[in-house]
Amino acid sequence: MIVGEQKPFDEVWEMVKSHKQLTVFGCNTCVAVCHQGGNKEAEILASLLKMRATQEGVDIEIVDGGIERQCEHPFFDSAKELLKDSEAVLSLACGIGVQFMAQKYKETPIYPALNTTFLGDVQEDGYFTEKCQACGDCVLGVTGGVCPVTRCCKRLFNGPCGGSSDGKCEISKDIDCAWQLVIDRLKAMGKLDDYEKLTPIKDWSKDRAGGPRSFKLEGF
Amino acid sequence: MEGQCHFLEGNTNAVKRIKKVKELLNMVGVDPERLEFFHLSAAQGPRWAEICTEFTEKINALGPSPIWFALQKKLESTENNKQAA
Repeated sequence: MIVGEQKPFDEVWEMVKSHKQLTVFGCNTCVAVCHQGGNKEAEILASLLKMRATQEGVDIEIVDGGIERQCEHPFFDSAKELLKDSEAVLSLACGIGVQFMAQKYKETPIYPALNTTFLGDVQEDGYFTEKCQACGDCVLGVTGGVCPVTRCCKRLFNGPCGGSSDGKCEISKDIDCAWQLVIDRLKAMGKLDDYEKLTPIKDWSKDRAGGPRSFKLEGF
Repeated sequence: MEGQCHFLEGNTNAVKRIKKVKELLNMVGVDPERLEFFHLSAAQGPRWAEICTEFTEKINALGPSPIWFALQKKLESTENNKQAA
């Protein structure tokens, strides 16, 4: 899922305080799981902004709302009326949702309330870790299900490097050496011989190098 | 009491949430001391009364919140504008 983190409150306030009306708008899927951008968080942020506005004597009407996903047209049906009357929107979606709304509502300022941080998993409630960089050419099949693009700080494909010590990376003792994880996993699966196999050079043209990516399904 | 909630983890979750709300209040300039959480059982009526009395005294000592002052200022300004008109 996409993990995001709320921007510092003062930064959010500075972005929106010049408006007379603001809709604080949650996205109730990925960023709701990380308790940063769901509809509940939108309600809380709206309350905080109202309190700040009152204290600073700023005349701004703040309402809150949200939908399940800000990155797909059909989900906006339930919020048509709310958004139609909005002078500005503070979106708690990831960068995708903010851009989707900006494209959809051409004349309405859409502000981001979150910093989109990474594509990750939920290790435990409230603890999220990065697992994928959407490089476009997945190698997990040959690396024992451990991504060297994301989890090796140097993005090595022939690790571990000399900075690996006791299973940890030289960048930080809190970061596991991805290649140690690859080896441990291959060993556990009885496939350690795979570690010796040469793999073809990775096709980086499918990564970001070619600019924004897209793909279209036939028959839709 | 702590760890003995009818809703199992309800009161331990509430403690975490109160901590978070205190941080949020602090962020918007409201003294987090204005919010407190106490563990009590339904059989502790007298202790509940004591806590309410103590907390009321504490809030009285802190005085009105900055939000109240801001709303009061806004109200006065609106009334002055009306009189001027």
